[in-house]
Order: sequence, then structure tokens, then C-alpha cells
Amino acid sequence: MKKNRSKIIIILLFIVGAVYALYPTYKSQTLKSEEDRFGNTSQDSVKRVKWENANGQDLKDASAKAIKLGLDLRGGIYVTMEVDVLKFIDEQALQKDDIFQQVMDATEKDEATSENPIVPMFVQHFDQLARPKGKSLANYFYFAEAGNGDDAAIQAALQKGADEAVDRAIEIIRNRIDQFGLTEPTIQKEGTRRIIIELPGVGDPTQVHQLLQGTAQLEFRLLKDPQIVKNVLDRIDQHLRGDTTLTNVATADTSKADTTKATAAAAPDTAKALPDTSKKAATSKEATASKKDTSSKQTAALSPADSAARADSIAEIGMSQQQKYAHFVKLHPFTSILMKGASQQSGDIFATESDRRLIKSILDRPDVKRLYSDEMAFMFSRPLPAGKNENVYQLYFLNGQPELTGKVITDAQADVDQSSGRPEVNMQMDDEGTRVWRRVTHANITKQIAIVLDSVVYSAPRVDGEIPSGNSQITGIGDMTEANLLKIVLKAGALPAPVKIIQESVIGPSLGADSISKGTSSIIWSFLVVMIFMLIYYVTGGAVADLAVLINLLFTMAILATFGATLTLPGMAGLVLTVGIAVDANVLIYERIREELSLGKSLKLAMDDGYRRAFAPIFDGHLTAFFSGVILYAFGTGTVQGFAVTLMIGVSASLFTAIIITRVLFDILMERNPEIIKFG
Amino acid sequence: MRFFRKTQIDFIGKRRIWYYVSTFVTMAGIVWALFRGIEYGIDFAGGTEVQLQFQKNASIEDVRGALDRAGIHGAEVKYYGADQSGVLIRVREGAQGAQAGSEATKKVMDAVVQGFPNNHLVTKDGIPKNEPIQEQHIGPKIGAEQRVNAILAVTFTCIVILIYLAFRFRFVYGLGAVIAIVHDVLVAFAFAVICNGIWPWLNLEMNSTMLAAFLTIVGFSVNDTVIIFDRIREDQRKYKGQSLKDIMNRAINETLPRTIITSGTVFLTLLVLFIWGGEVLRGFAFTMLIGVITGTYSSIFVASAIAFDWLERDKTKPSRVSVGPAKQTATKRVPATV
Repeated sequence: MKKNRSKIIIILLFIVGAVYALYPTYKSQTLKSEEDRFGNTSQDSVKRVKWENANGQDLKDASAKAIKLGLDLRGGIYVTMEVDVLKFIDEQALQKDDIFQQVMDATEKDEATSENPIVPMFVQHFDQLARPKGKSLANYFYFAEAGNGDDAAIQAALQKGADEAVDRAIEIIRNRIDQFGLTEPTIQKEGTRRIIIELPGVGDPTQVHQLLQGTAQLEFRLLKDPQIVKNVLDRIDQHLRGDTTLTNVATADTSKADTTKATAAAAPDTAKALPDTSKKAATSKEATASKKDTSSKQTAALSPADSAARADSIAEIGMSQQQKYAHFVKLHPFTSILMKGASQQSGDIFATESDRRLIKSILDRPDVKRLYSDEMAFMFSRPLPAGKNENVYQLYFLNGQPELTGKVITDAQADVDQSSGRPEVNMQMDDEGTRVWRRVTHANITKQIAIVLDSVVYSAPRVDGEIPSGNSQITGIGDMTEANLLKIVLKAGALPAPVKIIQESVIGPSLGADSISKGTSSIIWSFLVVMIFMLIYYVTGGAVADLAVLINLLFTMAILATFGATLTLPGMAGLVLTVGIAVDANVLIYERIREELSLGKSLKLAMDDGYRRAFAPIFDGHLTAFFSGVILYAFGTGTVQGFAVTLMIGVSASLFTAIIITRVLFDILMERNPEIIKFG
Repeated sequence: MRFFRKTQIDFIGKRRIWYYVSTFVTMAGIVWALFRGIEYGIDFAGGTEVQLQFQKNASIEDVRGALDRAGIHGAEVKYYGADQSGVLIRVREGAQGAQAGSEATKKVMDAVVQGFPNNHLVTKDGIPKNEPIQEQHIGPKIGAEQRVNAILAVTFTCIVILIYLAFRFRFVYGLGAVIAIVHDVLVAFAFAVICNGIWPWLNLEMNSTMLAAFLTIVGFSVNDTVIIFDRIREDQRKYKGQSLKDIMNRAINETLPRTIITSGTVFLTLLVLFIWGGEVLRGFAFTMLIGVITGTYSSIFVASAIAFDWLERDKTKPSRVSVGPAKQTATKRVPATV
């Protein structure tokens, strides 16, 4: 016991750690099955609302740390996209004559069969076909950054634009997916040209195509004058007054699953804590200052002290705080929802994920839309990192029409300001853009202009003064990452990021459920078969090995959960194989011990020798299995990588469980009751 | 409990018969693949694949007929699942991209819905729904790329293992092990393509899950081989002066119980997966079942046997007349260590 004390402590610590790492998986499973018990009747939906209020956050937290299931097990859409460099070149060309078309056709033909980079391929064809006819790249392309406009510089600019297209495409796609509110989407860059997108639980591919492929819209919109905002909100409130679905969100089921969250938002005591606004959301250098005055006005616009409310305020006398609130809600069903997220200091309106969905669903109603769409637009920011558990968005009231679209931007750079050392973003515009921009900035000094990509506000800097040259500088940015993001967004308006879907799998949810049940049951059976066999064949040794195998599975699952690795159906098969390898290690040891025993050695000596001599082959075997796992991970895709991951983790864990843990267990037995140690 | 008393089988002496058997099986697979072609899975072939579940059994001919009537010709149709109600349809159409792919799916769905007025499409839980269970669109480039990657992966694994074993043992043994690996992959491949040709319902097409099976076979086979080699090395130290043949036979016989027990248990687990693991894992489990058998066999009759023949040939070389002095030293009696 003594000589193994440190080993025992380490083993126990690992086991406790593994159980801790797996607890969220267990919890999310139990909570999910509780949630699934509710049916579709109205009575059930009330129960469900209550249940989600109590457990929704726990479920969310637990799911975040639980073992992730691959799309083959949960159903959903898996998409691989590739930047369409050819299309990018085509869209960059300022004029397309027959010669250019010939070059493009030749390149396209090559591209279908070759893996070579496309820009050099294009230039090569250009040299062969167009140059003899007296054309140069400068006849077709113009890039501000290409300087003197010689062909090498243009080629470099084309290449750079194509290389950066992946980042632009990812940001555009992420932005749209965020808006869609899909659960747990993953967007990954693979290599230099590819993007892998996984959307669990989505079933309609055509919807996804629209989401992934449309052209990005970048706009500059002025923030709306608070007085007009107030009028519009009044109108909406008046229109919605008496709409019981809103004033009584708690029992209604207007927006499906969102209702729960809306309930939480509508009840004053459950209003979620909102982030400190002074910290975030401001991008312009003086934006904080400017925000303060706009904000007070915005709050004024939203305060109950408007005409309609004043008339009723007499009625409020003698009412309790609660009743007053209920009365206000009744009169201002819409404003009261917005008010939930109004920051006390700045008056900016913030909304949690669920509130945002509720607000959007109201604003999208055709009867409501009619009331504001002529003069105003409601748009949300991208999710702000300040939200603790749920994403938080800022709501902007914007002009109905954009001042400018992003097409006029010629370039953008993220930089560090020389004097202050703070990050900044510079952007340049073409002639037409410069003209409009000058007029707009001249007329709107001290006002905020929002930078909007696909209806999402990325930044709303304040205009410090007229910008005559088209060279604008955006300062007051939090950090370099944010500056880079803004750069990418600005460029997304200027440069297209054409992507095409080159691979797509749509897995129906019923197939996933079927795979889970088949996979799980067959795996449990195969484990049982092996474990019972080991027990019969090696008696005590078998029992110890079985225990080690169980601990190995525990560790493997815990490591999967900790590193956020994904469990796929082939991954489950990997578990079976891992068990095979782990059992093999013990078989090797036990057969060796039997041999040593048959030579007449004492049990203790036989065990010492058995463990020592079996180590080398076990180690070799595990290492080679690990190698094939690594290679499979490098060359395989999707679900097969899941197999490689479980194999690698399982094999590593097996070295520990099959050799060290079993040895410690035998040592303990040896000290207490050596007579029960038998190897069959 | 134990299955074996001490065995004393002359494995090495019988190696030549097995050389013929191995050569025959691998050649059969290659010849079959050359003449009948390899059936690639969607991820290697590219195109559009739609998996459907009917409420009642449907005949392949009827499905094909319905597709033909809708103008979709040359589609590949086969059963997928436990009975004849699950159908897999594969068309080359829509290989150009996803947009075209989902249109192809739509066309297939329309054709099937119209062609089977009396047989509903259902989800896996049996709820009527005119939707595929699964659909995949794979661009031709990706398919080609993944085929190349699969071959690269197997090749690369062999090289890594050769290097590793050359360090751990002598080069000859590493070579024997790698030849055994190649042998195992080829045998498993042979069984997969031939069985797929004879029993299409096994769904043993070459896809990325199959690649996983091949690489796992590689790992398993090497593991087996290394354990025998390790014992050969140990016995060479223990029984100096015995002939290489005796030592190898002894080592193989000593490790035989372990070999059988391990292979047996892994075989059992895979059998469970093969029978109850569902459609996706069936091909994997089948190939692995073959791989376990051939991996065990090859560690004895290929890896050890080739190493033996190589070392024996080296020994006989000095008797040749025309060998110069430099060569003499190079080929002098090889010390009996591995």
C-alpha cells in the first residue's frame, strides 16, 4: 500500500476529475429527457414555460460542457464551401471583352482538372492569349493598392483579394448564421480556401443555400433622430395596445419556443442583468461622450412621461409599484419590452437573445411593419461579448434609407494609431463615394453613422467633422481583433467573396436517433461479451482487467468532453476497438504471468516478470495504433476524424489503465488477500 | 480456464503453402477490381445520393422505373437497411455543385412520390414525410481528392511503421511487417470488393469509413506482428545456438494463446457490431472481421516467414563463388539477433 500511495492518489484524482468532466453530459441528458416529456397541448406548453424558466439556463450550461455529438448522430447539415477564385477574378474585372472571356474560358477548363492555384494559372493564360493582342492586366483591373499598376502588382493584388476572400466569406456567413439564431453552429476554416460549416438540427438545404450564398450588403445608415423614434414607438404602442398576446406574454405562445425567454423578460423581477454600456459598443473615439447625450434623449423617448401616459398617470395614483408597472405595460406593450434592456447610464437599448427574437417577431408582423418601414429601420448589433450567459445585442434606430452602400469602399486597413497606440481602422472610397460621403459627413457632424452588414450593425462611429477626401479613420476600437473584424466587414462591401458549396450532407434527425440507438446498443453488447469472457477465462485477473476497461472508457469520454471533441458513429466504433486494444494489453500480461507461473515461479515473482516482460510489446502495439490514428486524422474527413480521435484518446488512456491501474489493484490485493488472485 | 496446452506446431515449415494461398487471394481481389471495377461510396465518387425509407417494401425495379419515367436515367439504386424498405439512390446529376445537387434530390423525390402512390415515404421513426432520410452532394473534385487521400493515408502509415520497426528491430523484420500490412489490406480489399459484388446488400463500397477500417487493420496487424517479433528477439537471447527456424516456431507457439484470445475477443466484438451496429458500421465491421483474421494469420505466415526466408537466404550467400572480399564481409553470417 505504502509504495503505491502516490499512484493511488493520482488514480483517484483522475477518476474524480473524469466524473466531474462527465457530469454536465449526464445532466444535460436528464434535463433534455425531462424537457421532451412535455407534449404539444396548451396545458403542457404552460408547464414547459415554467420548466424552462427554472431549468433552461442549467440545460444550456450543461450542454455547453457535455460531449458533443457529430451531425451523423444528431441530424443536420454539413457543408463544405470553397472560395470561387475564378468568379472573384471575373467580378473584379472592370470590363470584359472577348479576349478576356477567352482567357477566362481557358482558365476554367484548366481549373476543372488541376489543383494548382488559380491566379497564376489565370495570368499564364492571359500571357498566352491576351498579351500578344496588346493587352495588359491594367486594361481590365484597377486596384488602389497596386500603385503604379504594372502587371506584377495587379497580380499580387488579385492574389491578396482571393486569399482574404475566405475571411470575408466566413465573417459574412457567421453574421448571417448569428442572425438566424441557429443552435451551436460551427464555422471552421480549412486550409486556405475552404470553409466547413455544421448546422445541427437544420433540415432544409435550400434555406441554407440562401443563407450561405447571397451577396453581402454593406451600408452606412444614419442613426434616427430621437424625436422621430419616439413618434414611431408611440404609433407602434398604440397599435399594439390591447394586444393580449404581448401584455400577457407569460401565458401566450406567440413565438413558439421563444415564449419562455420572453416571459422572463416581461416580468420585472426576472429582468436579466445587462452589460455595462460605457465599456462596449462604442467604436468612435468620442462616441462615449456623444452617446451620453443621444442616450438621454432616447430614454426620454422611451419614458412613460409621454402624452398618452400622462393622461393615464392620474389613474395610477394609489397603485402599487407592481400595478403601476402592469398599467404601463398595458399602455406601452412594445416600449416596455424595449425598456427592459435600457441602460440606466446611457439609455442605449440592449436585448438578450430571446428578447431580440421577440422584438424582431413583433417588428416583422406586417401590420406593425406598415407603421415604421417608410421612415425607419430597427437593427441589432452583432452579439456583444459582455453577455454572461446569453448573447446581448444593442438595438439601433436607423434611417430607413442608407446614405451609402459599401460598393464605394476601395480599401480598408486595420492599424495601430502612431500617437496613441490604440487600434484604428482606415477606409478609402472611390470618387463618387467621396462626394456623397463629404456631403453626408458635413451635414451630420456629431451624429452617429452605423456601419451595417446584412442588416447587422457592426459599429456606429460619431462624425467628428466633414471628411472631404474619402479617407476616413475610425478610432476608439477596443482591440486589434475588433479592428480586424471591422476591416473585414468594410472590405466585404467592396470586394465580393464568392464561395461555392462543394460538398453537402443533409442528415435527417430520425436517422441520427436511429444511429444512436443502434450504435449504443451494439457497443454495450460487444463490451459485455468481452468482459464476461475475460471474467471466465482469467478469473480475478479478468475482473481487474474489466475494471480497468471501464475506467478507460470513463477517461476516454471525459477527455472527449473536456476538449470539446465530437463523438460520431465511427467514433463509437473507435471505442470498441480501444476496448479491444486495452483488453489485449491485459491478455498479454496474463498469458505471460501464466507462463512464468508454469515455470514454477512464485505468484509475486511471476507477476513482476509478467508485467515487466509484457511491457515492450504492449507499448509497441499501442504506439503503432496511435500512429494510424494520427494519420487517419490528418487524411480523413468529418465523421472518420471522430474515429481517429477516440482511437488516439482511448489508446493513450489504455497505457495508463491497462498497465498501471491493474498493477496497483493487484498490489492492493496482494497485501490484503493474496489467496484470491488467480489467472485462470 | 484455458484453451491451450503447450503447442508445438511447425508454422515456419508450412509457410510455402500459405505463400500460394495469400498470393491467390490478393490476386483474386486485384483481378476482380480490374475487371468488375470498384464500387465507390458517394464521398469518393462524387454526385448526389438520396437515402429513402418506404413504409412497405419496395422493389428496386419499381424505383428505377419511376426514376426512368421522370427522365432520370442511369441511376444506381440499391437496398439500404435491414429489410427491403430502405433504398439508396445515387445519380451523377448534380455533381457540379450543391445547388444542382439539391435540384437533383428534388427531382428524385418527385419521381419516387409519383411512382409509388400506394407506398409512403416515412422517417426512421415511421412518421409519413416526403423527405429523404439523408442526402449528400459531393463535387467531383472532392471525390477525387478523397480517393487520393485514402491511398496516401495507407501508404504513409506503412512508411511510418516501417521506419518505427526498423528502429525497434532489424530492418528485415520491419520489411516483413510492412509486407504483411500490405498483404492484409489487399486481402481485406479483395474480400470487400468480391463480397460486395456477390452480395450487394452488404454495402461494402469503398468510402471513408472503409478507409478507417483499413487503417485500423494496419494497426492491428502490426500489433500482432510486433508481439511475435518481440518474443523472437527474447528467445534468441535465451536459447543461443538454436536454429532460427526453431526459435521462430517456439516464439510463435509461445505467443499463440495470446494471439488467439485477443483476436477472438476482438472478433467477437466486431461480430456484434456487424450484426447489430446498423448500416453505416456494417461495412466497417465486415472489413475489420476479415482484417482480424488476416492480421493474425499474416503476422505468422507473412511477416515472420518473410523475415525468415530473407535471413536464411543471406546465410547461404557466402557459398557463392563470385562474391568479392568486400561483399564477403557484408554478407558474413548474420548474428542471430533481431
